Amino acid sequence: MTYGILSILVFCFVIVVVILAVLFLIVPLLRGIGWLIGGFFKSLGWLIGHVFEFISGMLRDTVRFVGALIAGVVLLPVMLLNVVIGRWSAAGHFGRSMKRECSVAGVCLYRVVLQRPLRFLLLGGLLEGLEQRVDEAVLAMPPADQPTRRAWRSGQFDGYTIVGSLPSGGSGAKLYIAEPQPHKRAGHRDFPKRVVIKYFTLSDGSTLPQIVRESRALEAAKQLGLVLEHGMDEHRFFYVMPYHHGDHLGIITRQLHGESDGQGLGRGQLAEVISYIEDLLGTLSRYHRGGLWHKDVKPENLIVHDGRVHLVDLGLVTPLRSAMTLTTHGTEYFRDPEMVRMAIRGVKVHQVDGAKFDIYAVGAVLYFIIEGTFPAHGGLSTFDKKSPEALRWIIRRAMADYNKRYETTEQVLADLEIVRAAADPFAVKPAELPSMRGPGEVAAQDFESERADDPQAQVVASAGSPKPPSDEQRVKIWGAYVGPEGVKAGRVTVDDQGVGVGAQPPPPPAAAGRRPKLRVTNWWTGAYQAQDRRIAADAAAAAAAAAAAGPALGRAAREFRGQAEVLRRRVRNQAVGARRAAREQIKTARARAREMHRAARNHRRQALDQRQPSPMLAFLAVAVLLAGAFLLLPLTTERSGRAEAQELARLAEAVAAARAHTSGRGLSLLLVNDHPAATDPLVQAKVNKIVQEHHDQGWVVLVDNRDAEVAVRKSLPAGMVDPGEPMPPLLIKTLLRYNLAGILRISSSPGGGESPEPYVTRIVVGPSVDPMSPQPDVPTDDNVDEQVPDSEDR
Amino acid sequence: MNTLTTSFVKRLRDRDDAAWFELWEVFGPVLRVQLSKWGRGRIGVETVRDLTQETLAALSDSIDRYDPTRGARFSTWLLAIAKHALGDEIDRRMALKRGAGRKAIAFDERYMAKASGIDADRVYEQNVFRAKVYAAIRKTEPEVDFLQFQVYRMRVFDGQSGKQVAEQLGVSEPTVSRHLQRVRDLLRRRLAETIATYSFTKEEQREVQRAGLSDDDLMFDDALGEIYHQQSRLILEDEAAASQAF
Repeated sequence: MTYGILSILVFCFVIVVVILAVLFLIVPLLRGIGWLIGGFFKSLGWLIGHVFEFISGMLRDTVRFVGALIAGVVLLPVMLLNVVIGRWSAAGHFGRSMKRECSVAGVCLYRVVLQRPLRFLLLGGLLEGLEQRVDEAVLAMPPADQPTRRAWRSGQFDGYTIVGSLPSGGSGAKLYIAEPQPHKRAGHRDFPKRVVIKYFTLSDGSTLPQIVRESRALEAAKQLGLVLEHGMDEHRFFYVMPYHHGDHLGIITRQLHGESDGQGLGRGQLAEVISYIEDLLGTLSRYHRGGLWHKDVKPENLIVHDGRVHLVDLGLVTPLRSAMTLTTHGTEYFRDPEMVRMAIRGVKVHQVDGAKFDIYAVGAVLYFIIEGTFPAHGGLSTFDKKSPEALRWIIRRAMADYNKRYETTEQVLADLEIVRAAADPFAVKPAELPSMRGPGEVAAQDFESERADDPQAQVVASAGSPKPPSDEQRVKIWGAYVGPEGVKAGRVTVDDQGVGVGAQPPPPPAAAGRRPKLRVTNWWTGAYQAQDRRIAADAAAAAAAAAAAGPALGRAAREFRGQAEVLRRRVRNQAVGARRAAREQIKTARARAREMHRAARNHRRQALDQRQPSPMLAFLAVAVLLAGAFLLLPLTTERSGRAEAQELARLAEAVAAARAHTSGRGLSLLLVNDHPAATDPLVQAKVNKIVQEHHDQGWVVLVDNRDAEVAVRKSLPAGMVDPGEPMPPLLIKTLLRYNLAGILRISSSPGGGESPEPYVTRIVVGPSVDPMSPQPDVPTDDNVDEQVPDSEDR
Repeated sequence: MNTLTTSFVKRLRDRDDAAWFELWEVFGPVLRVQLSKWGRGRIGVETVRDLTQETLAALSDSIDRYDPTRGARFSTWLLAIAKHALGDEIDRRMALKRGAGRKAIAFDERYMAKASGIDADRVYEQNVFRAKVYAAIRKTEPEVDFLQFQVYRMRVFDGQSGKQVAEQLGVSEPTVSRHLQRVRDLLRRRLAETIATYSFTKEEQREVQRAGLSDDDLMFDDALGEIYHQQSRLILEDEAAASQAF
């Protein structure tokens, strides 16, 4: 009974073990095998497809190449015939057709020879630079460095010397780089050293609407220091802007992604791009505070110079309070689709917040930098590259629906600050961003109230709009204040942000009903004092009231603290920018040095490679070589004989030295006992006897110079047993080094048998160094058996 | 045709710019991909974009003569016009006179036979359907709170767990579930409307069920996420091709 239960339990246990084994071992094993088989067949399928694509592509391109050649051959005589009979238009037509055929043939040839084979070998990346970057570089090539003669004739740009040009944008305007002449810079310490002149002329294809659009926000742009000067006459229109030299953000982004591991930007690169976006946000904030909206923020309009980003291209800058209807101008992928819908509906500019469209573009630019590609569909764009979740959140919020996105650039900046300041940006959660906590709304309200309280912002906001500014509004332009009463002299400086700031603020509006009498205290700066005592009394009373207003002062103090914080942040950013710029400069300098070194080396190599001697020179060179060889051969032979004689003389000297070493007692022989049974007492006795015999004959046998023995063993050829063989040079050198006349070598029989009888070989240096000659008793191969007693004799 | 479709066609006939822009936004990528596929090796990226515009322009011309009683699918109708635009371009290039004198509608007639299933191009049909779903997602986004939509995106489109989403956004898991449900409900409504708007036949309207966008929440989310990713890839391909033209 017990045995039966036990058997059942054992049986159950075995069943459970088998089931577990099937579940945990065999099933995963089979799945693994299945995966491997599946992977194998997938790879096989891919390989077959790859090969098939290669073969079919090669065939197709080859056939197209031949077809293009045939078409070219057919078209050529037709074209020539038309040339002959003077049908120029037809000849031109066939010429263009031939050009097309040549182009097709060239492309096919390129594919067959280079592209398809490299792609077949999975080396398509080698052609990336050739197919893309070279093409881009050619397209971005600047045009002629000088304007057309027509432009020169029309008066040119007084005060500027044109030194170069830039590629034209979509507006069709010409862009020239120019240097202001000394009289232009006189009195303006911060006037840029180089400027860009954007130049429109109706005769060169610019249209009137373009000119009107470009000139719409000029006054406000001047207010912000974005435009230095402008001019217009019946032939042309131009304006002057500061020039920022550098690569645009599209190129920088491509470089960053090229340096990354392909999975996304690293932490250092993220910090760099975030600082770029912060610069951009700072610039846009100035635009928006000045009542402007850039409308064309995109990587190509962001120039990176000295580690900072500069926003360029004012072609679409629009006043925020303009009464014009929204237009769809802008660049696809960086333009809010909602703006297009609004424009289609006929919404006016002042009915929307244009700053939000700039914020959308900032999100799109950030997306472009992070992903390396265009945002496919606004806020619904997917992220494929590795990036911090908080950064993705910021991008999505910036590109969200018009009513859901950030209100101001300051909100975006505050969120970005958190990501940039974090030790690990990837660990920052969206929940930690300030905009998620709510201060953003407060900031937005502050900004709105600030803008409402700031008369200057109001003035600039309305500049360029169809609504004329009121009498109290005065706008600053380069070099002068312009108001309803005309132009007044005044010195204008540019602050560190490039904003034009007057040395003297505009005078306060006069009290109603009376105008104060002004006394100018400094004619140079335009400073003045109001002499009206009543006004002064009013001012004193106002000051007393202000002093009494404690809460107001407290608020002012808070505002000052806030401003101080902003300044501190700005200084910090500038310091970071300066450090980054220094690093970049060092890096660039090193790279340039390396590049120059490499270029010099390549140049030398190329110069060497390109030296193609003429046949005559080659013939002369060969003749000279042959003649030289003919002349040198006897000399070489003679030198060889002389060297041999010198060697012999050196040997004689060595022998003499060896003799001196042994004090005239004889020449030293080094005993090298290579007998297999060297430690056998019988063999040792026989060796001692041989040594004694050599001593008796005048030789000095060295048995204790271990160094010499080791050196000789190394230089002694293994098979050298016959003293008649020529002594190798290495052995001679070794012997000379130790002042030895020769070697006394004890080994087994030359036949290699296990003979107990020592086989003696005496190898002496040189043919004429045997001092004891004649030495009939010297043991040689021939008489050794006679001189050394065998074991039986003993 | 349902009321929404009739209303949309009426807007198109009335030359409502917004309706045309909507059509361009929703079906532009699909048309571009399809035209690129047909004209591979023969037309470039810029030509593809031009032809897409021409397709919509031709649609504008022929919309007045569209006969809904014939029962042609919306996608077939669009495809026919795109095909005609491409054929016209190829004809122009080959300097042939084929098709001369005949107007676009004459070609359209041939494609407006009663549809008996997905027979034109299965991939194209799927792309059209995904474009409709994608349009529904885009319509939903502005209607819900930003946080709610991001919750849905992170959970369904990005595949994060409810706990991860809650941690990232600093909300509780029940809140995440509530947001998900809110967005899902709205998505269902907008999906039904969008599909109805861009569908001429009942068969097209039944595609929703066939694609797995059922009443079951889990299946709905999975299917929607899959469609979103596939359509995103298609748009990315289209944008990448377009970026080469810049």
